[in-house]
Amino acid sequence: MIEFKNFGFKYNAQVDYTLRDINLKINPGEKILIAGPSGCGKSTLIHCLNGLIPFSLEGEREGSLTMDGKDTWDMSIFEMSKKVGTVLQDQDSQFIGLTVAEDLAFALENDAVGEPELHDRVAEIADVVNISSHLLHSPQELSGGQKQRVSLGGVMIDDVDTLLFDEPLANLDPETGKKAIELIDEIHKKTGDTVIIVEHRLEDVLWRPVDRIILMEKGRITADTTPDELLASGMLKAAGIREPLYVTALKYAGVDITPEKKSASLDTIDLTDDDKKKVRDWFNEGKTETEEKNKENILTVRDLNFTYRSDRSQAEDFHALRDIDFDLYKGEMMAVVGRNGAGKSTFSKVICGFETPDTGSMILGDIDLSTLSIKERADHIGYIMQNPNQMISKTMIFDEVAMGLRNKGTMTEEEIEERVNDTLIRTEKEGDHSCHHVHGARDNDTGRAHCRPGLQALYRDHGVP
Amino acid sequence: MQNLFNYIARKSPIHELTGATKLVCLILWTFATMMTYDTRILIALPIIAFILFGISKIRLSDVKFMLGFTLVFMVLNNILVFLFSPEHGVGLYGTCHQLLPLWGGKYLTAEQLWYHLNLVLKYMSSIPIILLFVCTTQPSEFAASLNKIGVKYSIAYSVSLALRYIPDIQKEYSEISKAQQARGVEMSKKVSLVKRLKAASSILIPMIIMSMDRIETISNAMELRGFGKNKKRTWYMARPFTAKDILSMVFCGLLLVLSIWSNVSRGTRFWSPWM
Repeated sequence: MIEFKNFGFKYNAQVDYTLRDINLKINPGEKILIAGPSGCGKSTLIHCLNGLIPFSLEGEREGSLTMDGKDTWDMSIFEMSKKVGTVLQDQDSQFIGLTVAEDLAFALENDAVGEPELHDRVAEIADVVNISSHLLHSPQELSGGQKQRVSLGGVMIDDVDTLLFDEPLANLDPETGKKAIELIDEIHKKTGDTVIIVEHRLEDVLWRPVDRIILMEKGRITADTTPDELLASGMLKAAGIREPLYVTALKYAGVDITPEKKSASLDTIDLTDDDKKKVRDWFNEGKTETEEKNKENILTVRDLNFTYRSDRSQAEDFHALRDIDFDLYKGEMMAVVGRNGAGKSTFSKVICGFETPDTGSMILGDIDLSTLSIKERADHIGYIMQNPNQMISKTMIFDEVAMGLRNKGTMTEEEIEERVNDTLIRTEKEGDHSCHHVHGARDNDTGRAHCRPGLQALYRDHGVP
Repeated sequence: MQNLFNYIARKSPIHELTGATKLVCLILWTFATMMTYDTRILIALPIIAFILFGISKIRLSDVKFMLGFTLVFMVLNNILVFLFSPEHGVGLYGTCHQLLPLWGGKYLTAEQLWYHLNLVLKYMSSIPIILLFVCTTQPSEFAASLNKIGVKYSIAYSVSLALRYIPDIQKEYSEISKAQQARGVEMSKKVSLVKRLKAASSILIPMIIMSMDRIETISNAMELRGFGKNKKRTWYMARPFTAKDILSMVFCGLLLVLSIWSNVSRGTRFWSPWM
């Protein structure tokens, strides 16, 4: 059993406590979901559970945290790693082994498990997580769902009794996400391990039942209850967590969500005849508005093809874009959707000039894009990449936002200052802060950095992480 | 993209040797090359090296970048030796055959040219073997083999991680470079080289920050799975020695013995037709 009592934690580098008044009991075999907006202290809580706090990240604590009656501050990180296995959020950089087999074997290797037990146990666990056919592949070559299986196998091999998942759905498309949740559920049932999922994509996690949801806000636990109760309470919306879409729809229709209606899953939901009538009426009343705009074509793409050539990291050519034709009109807001690997990012990279297409034309207004360098295209198209860290190159937010304008070289410093301040006010940010202090907010900063004149199209890759 | 260090998976007898064998052979071979200036041995070694290279099925085009790099280094080394000490060979071999007058009363001698030939042969003996080792040894097997010959496993693992991340870092560099160009930093051929170099500095900060993030994630991941817990660890990829392994090591050991014997029996490390 894991028990927090009046627990609080403050990092050495920070003034305020990141966690406060945490009282939480997690019983063996329970499956719980910890949810909360960015910056609510979820990651800190995870670090306390897996032992990185206090062993790698130092700070002060209040109250106590015990695991099976033992204070974790008196344990070593290795002792804790035998109890709690963590599947980290960052799928790509958490792989240690060069091949899937080695990654699965890593914990055993560190325990100096010898032959033939080492190979046998790897084969066994590969079977459990269903990855046996890929043992000699590099983890980086796998699909998102397969990667999840490998990281799960890598912690399960240690016979831990608690599995901790740090945002397991990040980077997974909804379909793969559902499979991941099914896999977690299956493992939970099979092993009887305690499962702790930290995730803000509530609807996807609730695809399989959980026992409790812990809601965190500003370092405190604000709710510790069953999914049915929590969905009925309206606390999620207040905390900035998206509730399941069907719940939102029901609320729009005027249905009163109560715990008795068991709204945690569409399979269990129990609506009265009156509720059903409300939903039908609401549906019939809604009309889709189609508005014909004055269409001025701004970007025309015809017959676009692109292939990733084979190299050492990839054995065969991969035809990522096939015969793409499309038009973008001025003032239009368009979303490109598709599953992982469908070519969404590749498409944006080709438009922005990061990659050169095999065939096809891209005309922006009356300019042929193929004649422009990446920088010249950037004068017309603002591109916010999936990974904001690759874009931010200045220490201060002001300089970061001003960078694009300065590079353009057509404005005076006063004009730039005015424009930047205007942009920052519009987006509620102060320029005299360091970019790298605003962790969760980095993504938005890059967005701001693009608000500058003369842009004809703004392209945002994975705007909702 | 050409990578500096990269394991190239092919089927060959060299690939089948264990990492530890290849490491021991590399060390023995390098010592055999370093110990002697006996030209007869130094001619034999590159010939064997090139044959081994052929057997390994590594193609010249796979390693052209590294090869070019080391060739430049070899030429530079020879030029510097010649400039600073144009009559070095005379001192070494004890004879003097003047060919052409140089500066400051010094002469170009047959001995000096002979000495440079020996230097080039030494490069030609060791470079193919080093390339062979790098291209046919999987990084994790390399770590296991370092550990096997007595290097602490934490150090062995860091070395293999570093080798493995080189291609990743190259990829990262090109992605950040493109991201910065999309922010308006011109790095294409449309501006001068100096401007491009200056612009490349904007890649630095994101690069450092991302590398730090990466190091933090990987070290956390390793710690959480018990890395560093015990004094010893085992290796999934470690393989037991076979007859081929023993044979290869004995062969390289004999080469070293030959090289030392040639020095000891003649009382000098050097050999020339005039001695």
